[in-house]
Amino acid sequence: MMRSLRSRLLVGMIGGMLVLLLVFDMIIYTAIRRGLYDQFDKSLIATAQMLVATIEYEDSEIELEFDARITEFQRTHRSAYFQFWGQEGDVLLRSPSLGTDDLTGWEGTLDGPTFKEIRLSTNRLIRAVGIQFNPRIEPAGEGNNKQEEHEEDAHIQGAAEQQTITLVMARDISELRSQLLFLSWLLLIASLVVVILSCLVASLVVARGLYPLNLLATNIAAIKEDKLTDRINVGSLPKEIAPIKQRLNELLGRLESSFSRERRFTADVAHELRTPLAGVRTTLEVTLTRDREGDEYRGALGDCLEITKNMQAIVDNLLALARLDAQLITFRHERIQLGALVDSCWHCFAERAGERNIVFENQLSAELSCESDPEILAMVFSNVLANAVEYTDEKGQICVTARTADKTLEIMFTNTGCSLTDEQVGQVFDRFWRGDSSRTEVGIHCGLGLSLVRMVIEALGGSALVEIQDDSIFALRLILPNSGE
Amino acid sequence: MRVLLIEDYRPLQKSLAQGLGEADFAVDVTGDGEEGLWYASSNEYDVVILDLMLPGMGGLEILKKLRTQGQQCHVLILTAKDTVEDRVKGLNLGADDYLVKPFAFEELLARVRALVRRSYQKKNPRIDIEDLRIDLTTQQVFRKNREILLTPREYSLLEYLAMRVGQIVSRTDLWEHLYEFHSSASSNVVDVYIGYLRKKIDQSDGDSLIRTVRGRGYILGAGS
Repeated sequence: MMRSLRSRLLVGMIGGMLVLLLVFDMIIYTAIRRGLYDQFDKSLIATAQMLVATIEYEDSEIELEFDARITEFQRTHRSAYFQFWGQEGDVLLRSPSLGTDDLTGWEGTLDGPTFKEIRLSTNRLIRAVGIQFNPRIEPAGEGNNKQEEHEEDAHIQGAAEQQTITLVMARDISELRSQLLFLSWLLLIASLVVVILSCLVASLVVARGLYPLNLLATNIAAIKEDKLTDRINVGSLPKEIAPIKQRLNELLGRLESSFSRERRFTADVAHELRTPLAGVRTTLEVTLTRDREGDEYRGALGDCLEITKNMQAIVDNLLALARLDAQLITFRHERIQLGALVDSCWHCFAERAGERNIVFENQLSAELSCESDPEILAMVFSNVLANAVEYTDEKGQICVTARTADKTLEIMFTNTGCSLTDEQVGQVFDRFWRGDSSRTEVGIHCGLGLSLVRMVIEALGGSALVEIQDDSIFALRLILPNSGE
Repeated sequence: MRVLLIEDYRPLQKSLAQGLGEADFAVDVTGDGEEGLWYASSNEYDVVILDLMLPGMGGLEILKKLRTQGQQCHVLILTAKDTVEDRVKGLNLGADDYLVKPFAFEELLARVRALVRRSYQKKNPRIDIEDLRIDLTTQQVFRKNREILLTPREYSLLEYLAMRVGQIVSRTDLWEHLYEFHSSASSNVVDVYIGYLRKKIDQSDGDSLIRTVRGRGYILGAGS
């Protein structure tokens, strides 16, 4: 398996070229060969026809009107051959160049010439054409009367018609053969040269063609994990590679925003824990500046304990958020009586609400139930109620209502005393955001509550919405999927 | 010296007020931004300790408004925001110091004292007036190398007079720098403490360091 794109391209291109060249060579070779043979055969036939035309048949004798001793047919020259024989295979005439060789035993037809290649005893390869013909009859005498002449003619013609003579005419083919051999070598060498040259050209072309890829790779390699703001910046890329660059840049963008979200989150966490830490430290340090009464120590320790509990809540919420982020939480499915669950969650906040004279009203009917994870839902309700208790005005009211629709169940928490603007309402689900209305009254409140609520509800397949009703009522709607009774 | 603490996190507010009070500062405390701005604008504080994330009005906003009003008080920003940008921004808006939470209380105290010294152009944490020596760090007072034990209130009074050595300091001025906003004490109490202080630092030879300028106030050391 070839791993390199470059070698794949090269092998493919050169292999394909080689096959094409071979086919091309074969076509050229065949065409030229055919042309040469045609030419050869035509000249062979022409010579044979010339021989035929000069033949005279007289008294069962063949007479050649041309000089058979012309050099072409001479033994010494040996480049052309012929042989005539009659119907009974009796050799009528043969060229001296044949020597001891005999061309009989093979014949043409009356319909047309046939060709054959024959190897002579001298190892010479010749190409022969066979022609069968009826020779021309030479009139017997000049002085016969017309009648006799006609009778004679008819007689002789009749005899001649019955006499069929075969001529085999041949010529040396070695020159043609060597021409073809030369041609095949020429083609082979030319093809080899072309292949070698195309190897060079192809490797150059491939290297040039792959250059943008190399450039892209170098560019990508230059991007370090601590500098995700960088983008792949290669001027003009071919349109096949440009989408890769774009996708990679998009990926980098997503990575960058996810990393910066992580960093911001860590910074937020550090920030959120700094203030309570400063509280613990300063309380302890100030307490230790001098000897004090037991009550003062107890007071300081009590303060530190409160802060520590608060920090623990922050850490618990953070852990829950991190697990939700990593999708490590699996939900149980149990039927839950919602009214009872809200009441049990409220229990933790009743004292605090009492201090601030907040009225709590749970309007969920005793039968209202849904299928969900009771612990998770309790965490959600606690966070919502904690938030409500922190932000409800003195002598205000917190109310829980519900309504069921076809496939959803909506639980609505409302509290009075909200002074958030529309813009601020949009931020309540942001981590560490908090409404600042009454924090001085209630001390620290971790801004994770509502963002956790939304994440959990969404993980449960529902959604969480907030709105301001009548200018000062903060309403949080939890919409849960309802599987029915 | 009088300090304003604007910090909304109650446990920190409480312990800081206690610590500063025990270090003989008169401390006013608020957790609300707008209220903090009002305090800072209507009183003369030596140092304002300012948190940045505040309900009502952000710390930087308060700082900007104070400087626009021409308030000269020294401002120390005390915040959980620790990036260089945050510090630079705070200092550029007119803060005099920047401390990131959590911090060592001792350091905060030292910084606040340094800011107080700077308010009165005193670089040396030791003030010598004739044969009277005041160590601002240890809050010890010596006359002719003999230590004089003062109550916190007496010390504060002496310290403020020493900071403005050679100047006439009015009774109201003294009262404003020594008593917190909600103090029920009247400015007459200053005269009482001046009396106590004179008894302790002045020798029996009758050579008084603290002189009364009739109708105008008090002066420590050789006045012009």
